[in-house]
Order: sequence, then C-alpha cells, then structure tokens
Amino acid sequence: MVRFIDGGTRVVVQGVTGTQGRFHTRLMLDYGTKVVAGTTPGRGGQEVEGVPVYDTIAEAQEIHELDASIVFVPAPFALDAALEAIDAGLDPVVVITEGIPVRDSIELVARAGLKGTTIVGPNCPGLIKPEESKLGIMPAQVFREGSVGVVSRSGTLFYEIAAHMTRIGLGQSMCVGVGGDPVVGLDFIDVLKWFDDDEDTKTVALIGRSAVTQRRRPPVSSRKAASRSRSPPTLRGGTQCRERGWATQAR
Amino acid sequence: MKLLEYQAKQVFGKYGLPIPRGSVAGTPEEAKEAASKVGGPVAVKAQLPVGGRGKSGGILFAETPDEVAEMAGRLLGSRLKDIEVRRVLVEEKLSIRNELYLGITLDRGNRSYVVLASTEGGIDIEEVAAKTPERIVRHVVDPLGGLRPYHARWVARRLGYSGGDMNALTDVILRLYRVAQETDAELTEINPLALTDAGFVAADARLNVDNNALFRHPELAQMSQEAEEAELSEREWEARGLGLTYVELDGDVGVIGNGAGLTMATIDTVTLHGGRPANFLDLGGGASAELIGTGVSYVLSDPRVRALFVNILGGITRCDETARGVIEARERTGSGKPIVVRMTGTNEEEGRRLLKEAGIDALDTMEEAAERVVALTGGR
Repeated sequence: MVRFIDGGTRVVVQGVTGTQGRFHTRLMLDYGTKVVAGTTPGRGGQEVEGVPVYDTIAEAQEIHELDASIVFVPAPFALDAALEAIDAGLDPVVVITEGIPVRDSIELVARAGLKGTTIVGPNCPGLIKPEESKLGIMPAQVFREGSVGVVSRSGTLFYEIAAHMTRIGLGQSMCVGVGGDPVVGLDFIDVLKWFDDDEDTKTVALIGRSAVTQRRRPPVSSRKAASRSRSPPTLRGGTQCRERGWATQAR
Repeated sequence: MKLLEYQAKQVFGKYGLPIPRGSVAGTPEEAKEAASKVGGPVAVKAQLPVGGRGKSGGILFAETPDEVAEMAGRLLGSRLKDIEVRRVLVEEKLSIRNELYLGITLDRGNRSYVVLASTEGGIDIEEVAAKTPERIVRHVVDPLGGLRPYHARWVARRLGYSGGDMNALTDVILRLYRVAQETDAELTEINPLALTDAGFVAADARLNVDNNALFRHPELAQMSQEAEEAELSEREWEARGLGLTYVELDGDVGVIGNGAGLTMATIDTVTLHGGRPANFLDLGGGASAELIGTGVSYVLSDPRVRALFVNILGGITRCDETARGVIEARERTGSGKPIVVRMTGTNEEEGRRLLKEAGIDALDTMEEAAERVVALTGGR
C-alpha cells in the first residue's frame, strides 16, 4: 500500500544538521510541512530551525508522534538511516541522498518490501502536495494546487514541466519525483495506481528520461491516463543524446 | 567504472577464480620476457576498455618469445576501436574444449542481481539473447538471501553439466558472485569461460564497478584510472579531474545544466532551435558557487564555444549560488563570450539581482534562452 503525505503528516528529518538537511528543513517548515524532529548521531540535544535534534529516531519517538521520514544523510550512511526509519515504522521514507551504491539500494528496497514501507528515491526530489505540504527539495514556487498528478524519473526536468503547467493554469494534485537511480523504491506503476484511487487527481503527467529503463511498462492500466487518451502525456528528455549514443554516460 | 582485462583478472585471482598464467607488458621487451616466463604458445591481447577486440585484430597468437615481441610491437601504440593500445596481456594459449558465457549484472526490473550463463560462450551475449534466447540461463538473486550453492548448482545443471564439471562450474559461479558483491560490481563477466583439460579457466574477464561505491574500494578506483583515461577525450578527462560530468559534442554552444534530465532536455531544445551544442555538462544536485564557477570557466575556455547557455532549475541548487559562480567565472577568465542564463527556483530573486548588477540577463523560460543563445551564435 503506497503512502504519501498530507498537511497532517508529522515528519522527522534524518541528517538535519548537515547543510542540505538544515536548508530544506527551513524551506519545508515555511511551506507548512509539520517537521517535528530531526536526527543526527552525536548531535542529540541541539536545535535546527527550532526543531529538536535527537541521536536516534527511537528517542525522538519517546517525545513526538512521527509518521514519515526524509533522509539527507550522506551516501555511505544512508542505508543505515533509511533502515532505522523503516524499523521505527515510519512510512513513507523519502531518500533524497544522491550517490548511494546500488547494492545498498537493493537491500533497502527489499527490506522495505518486507514491511510494506513506501520508499521514495533514493536520489529523488521527493513529494509535494501543492499548497499543503512537501517532503522534498523541490522549489515550491513552481507548484500550484490543482488536479493533475505528476510523476517523474528526472529531478530538474520535473520542476521545469511543473513550472510550465502552473504558468498555463494547470495545478497539481500530488507530485512525486521517484528518482533516477537504477534501483528505486516506488516506480511509475505504483504511483499511477495511487493516482487512480485518488479523488483529487483527474489527469496524470508522466516524465521519463532517456537512458533510464523502467521496471515495468508504462501505464495502459491507468484509468485516469486512459480516460484522456490511449496513454498519458509523456515526455522523454534526451532524444538528441540518445541519437548520439552517449546518454548512458551522462547518467 | 571499468577495469581492463588484466586488472579484472588480478581481482579474480584474489578470489580464487582460475585465470591463465601470464603477465601484462607495456613494451615489446617486457612482452618477450612475459612469454619466456609462460613458456610455449601464447596469446597477445591488447588491453582495451571496450568489447569487440578480437574482431578488430586485438588478439594475436604466437609460438616463440621473438614472435611475441614482434606482435607486441605492432599492437602497442596502434589504435584499435579508436583507442590507443598502451599495454598487452601475454598469457598461455589455452586448449579449449568448450566455451561458456558467465556474467552477473544488475537486474533493474527485479531490483536485484541476476546470474546469466550460456553454452554459447565467446560471442557477444546480447547477440545470443537476440538470436537464441533459449540458450541463456537466468537466475535472479534473492536480494536478501543472496546466491546459495544450490542456486549455482541449478545454473550448472541447466547448462547441461554433471559430475565433477558441474561441481567445478558451481564453484566458479559462487566465486564470481563473491567478486560481484565484494567489489560492488554493476557487471562482471567471464566470456569465454573456457573448459580445458585442466578444468575451467577465465579466458577473458570484465569488471565494471558501481561509481557510487568507489568510496568503499579506493584500490579499484585507482586501478580504473587507466581504462577511463584511455576511453575519454582529452577535454573529458580533464573535466573528470575537476569533478565535472562532461561529455564533448561537436557544436559551438556551450551547455551547462543541473540534473541529467534537464541538461539533456536543454540540448534537445538548443538543437530544436537550430543550434549545435558543444558539450553536455551536468552540475548535479546542490552545486556550490565554486563548482558552478569551475564548470563555467571550463566551458568558456573551450575555443570552439561561441556562446554559453546556463540552465538552472533551483531545487537543491540555489540560484544565488549559481549567479555568484557565473559572475566569478566570467571575471576570472576575462572571457567576452556571451552568456545566457536561464534560472528559476530556490533563491531566484537574489540570484537575478546579482546577475542584473553584473550586467547579465536572466531569462524566464528555456525556449527564450535557447532562442537567444542560438541567435548569438548565428544559428538559424
């Protein structure tokens, strides 16, 4: 069962004292996300942007009710951090960290599967429910509330297209950046199924990327996609690159 | 990240995989000495980081050390598949009864590793997959349980082996799996895996390590420099040293973006408007002003580049950092080449203010910016 976020989701930021963790904690708070705790081993007792820091999630849970986690922990330690969040029963776990070894991602996704935890990422921009809450690093100003569900493999190309949609008056119900790594938790099909059951989502936009093969074939199964046309609007960036035969190099 | 055959064989040897006797040589004299040590007929193999070496004349056979010296002299310094041959591997010539294929690679669909094996060894496995897919045995590894001896035995049986050969093959599969796991290999391959009178021998060896895992394998990162340097163009190699993800193209519009997807889309857009990109440069996520400055200076320093297009969508990357990087690089290089910046997102207002003060316009959309930069280079 895929779990996303809404305005009530209570969040712990793992790796909250790092540059990115600190910066995006501020931006998430400004957007209205309920960031209630942070963790960094060895930094328990400190505060970041008014958010209390703990050494472990277990200690944070003694004081706070937590629902979901966002991980900014550096790649060598990110698997451990995400497993800690899964063990603590948090769901979803959004892994922003870039550069995680694929062997670690394989273990992460397999262990999350045992428990039924939704993993978004790794190496992803995260989730945003426009004008309500975001669990991610996307620039919030390019999103508006609306009825289009957006799912993307790419990060910055995802923002680019959201900005275009917003400019022409197409708001978004839920946007999910699933990440571009070879192995990620959520894939297109999982998200499209979620959109099918979501009342706020009327249409779907899907943003792929050249050089990234999908786990399963995209989405003829999606009702909302199929209701508008045979397949949802899709964009494949990098056609020039593919023709030149070097797209994989530019992972 | 790739290793050359001789390096992959060194790693395989450490894990107890059977490899041919031999050694690597950088000069005809060294090759001759290597051949004398092996004794008897040998193979002389150009060390290249690409496949298809045999067909392009990169593998030669010789009977005597003098012949080996002559052949090594021919191969060393020559260009095969557009790459200069700097070393040859001299090793015993195997008397092969059977050639198999054995590989372990990432299976994105199943989110795990997969063991691939075939009785059709010695040829490109993609070709086998296309023509006779029934001849490939696949075993998807349980991501948490790993590859057990009974799994490997099953693969060996499916290839038609029994008795002692089956046990020996099972052992090779398990050892290769250990290599794959312990080196974080994206792909490790023995093609062909030769069955000789003395048992199985890895006649060739391939080992590509996950770049993201290199922090766990400093010794492999060091080894991989040789293959990388051979494969990249001079500018690409230089860019690698600066920490940039850079690919050289043949046009005159410098392109810098953040994120591979956006940078590829930027190249598409420039091309669509009639321009010709000179390069692909992805700054990745969260680039600092310093890294952005390094990227901008590097592209501006390319004599082929007549105008630069910087396309940043700030998420984890901040527009103010971008502006500082661009301005600083322009001052440092003293380059008069026109720069078109398109940026939006995190800290956009501060970024725009900085650029405006420096007399650089920041445009709103990718289309506008692409049109502008193409017009500046006299495109369509």
